Amino acid sequence: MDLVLDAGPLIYLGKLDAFDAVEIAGRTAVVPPSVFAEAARPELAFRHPEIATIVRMREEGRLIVVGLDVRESRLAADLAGRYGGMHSGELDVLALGLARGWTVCFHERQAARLARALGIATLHLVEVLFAGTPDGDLLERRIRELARLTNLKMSDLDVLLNLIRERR
Amino acid sequence: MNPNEDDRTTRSQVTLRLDRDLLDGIDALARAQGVDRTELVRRLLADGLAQRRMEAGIAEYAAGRRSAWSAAEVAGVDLYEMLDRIAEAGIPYSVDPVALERLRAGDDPPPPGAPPTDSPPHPVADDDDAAIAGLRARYRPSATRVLFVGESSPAGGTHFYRADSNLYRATREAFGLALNVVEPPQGDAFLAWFQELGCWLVDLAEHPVDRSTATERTRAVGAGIPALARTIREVRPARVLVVLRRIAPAARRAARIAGADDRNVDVLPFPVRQWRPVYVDQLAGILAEVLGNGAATSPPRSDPAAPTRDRAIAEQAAEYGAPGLHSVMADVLRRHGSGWMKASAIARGIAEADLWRRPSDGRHPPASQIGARARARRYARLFQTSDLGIRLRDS
Repeated sequence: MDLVLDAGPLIYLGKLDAFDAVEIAGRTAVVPPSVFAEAARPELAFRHPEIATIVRMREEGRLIVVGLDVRESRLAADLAGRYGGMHSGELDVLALGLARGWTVCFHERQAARLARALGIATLHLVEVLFAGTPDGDLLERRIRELARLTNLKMSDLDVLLNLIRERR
Repeated sequence: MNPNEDDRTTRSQVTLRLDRDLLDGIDALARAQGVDRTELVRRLLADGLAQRRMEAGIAEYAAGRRSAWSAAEVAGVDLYEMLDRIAEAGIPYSVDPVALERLRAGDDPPPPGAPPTDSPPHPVADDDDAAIAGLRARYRPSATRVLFVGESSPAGGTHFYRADSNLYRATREAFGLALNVVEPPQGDAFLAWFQELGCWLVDLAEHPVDRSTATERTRAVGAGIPALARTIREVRPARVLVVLRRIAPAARRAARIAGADDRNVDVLPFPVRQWRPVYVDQLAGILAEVLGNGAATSPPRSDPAAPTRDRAIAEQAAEYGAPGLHSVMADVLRRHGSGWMKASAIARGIAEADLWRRPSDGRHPPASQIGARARARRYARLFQTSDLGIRLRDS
């Protein structure tokens, strides 16, 4: 149990159907209940079929929902008072990372910076994909799809594609 | 409970005055849609509110003040909707630079339970400093013709070499103007072009200082003088362009230490607010002069027959007053010697020596009509402009 996912990375893992990358990278995907609730809203499943994938991952035990204990909930509330601009679910991710020493995975770099400033190890979704997708063609497809979904900056996409080419 | 009682319980009554035209428009639309005026206004308000909340959420996200999830809360939508709307709005997404650097360096991701590689109190600055240093090294030209000197990387995470800063956008515009390229390349392609033309940007301060106190900024800039002097000595640029007036003294000092001719040091205002067009205009004039021959390496022009900006200025019809006012300015500066003169002093010199009068009424024009600074920017080959004033480049 070591990679706490924020809702953004969880949704993109679902959209890319890339939960296997987390496992191949030697991680176990963990989310607080708030993140799972946002990413697995049943009323949105028709429009966003990746929700079915996310729910299935949980049912198969490949995505673990971990509740915050009293101390962690207090920690999340305390973080909310000190750091604005984040959703309470993201603060739950930070609290789990901080209290249990788990690595966290955020979508926005600002959140990752804050995590590191708090002494929490971070991992970005592209690092998970690189570490957990040995097939170069599949990795390139995943990165291109992620770039399309997120409107990734061309300069970043170029860097990632070059890295894939070098790896081949 | 009857429907009227229910309505009074769940809704509050609001009275507001509307322009007659607006009310007529509402009535016409209500008739066309077969609803009453009140119902239509309710729907319009609900739609307008939802739209405004979405705009506010997207703006907060784009400004880096909120995460997408937090912005979704502001907008009153779910995260899926917000992620889609952010992408539709064309807001670019950047991968965490620390992750990119780790991937570039071939570093393995941190093992489970490992502490972060960076730690307080300045982890953010350290992350970014390393990333920016990497980009700066990547885009260093083999031979530097124009060395741009900035104060520091912005604290907000944007940077010229990330192609997302004010400086990047204004510089790109100036390159387009100077080299007559209607649509200059963007992003990495522009940075590669910038590099190919022999241009390089370095900063005086090692860490972001734009959110520091004035004293800290001055100290950080001062500490960067020896490094800048070494860089100037090493790359021997034809021109040094300081892109912030405040740091001009430090940059000149570095140039002097490096033994460079400070006539090749130009000072531009930082391109924000009203200074943006000034920066673009002045930079375009300098680039046309310095890189004029470098156009061969520029992207294909949309109209190869079009003159460069430099030639266009030389050939343009007489501006206000008479052709040759820049020559009169040069006369005044020559009489003054090799020193700097303020624009107002140049205007006084023209009047005192009776070098030029308005053709319309035969009187001496005030400084505002001579526009000495703007004229000096246009004739970058003749004049050097800085925070100190104007002087002849080759006196």
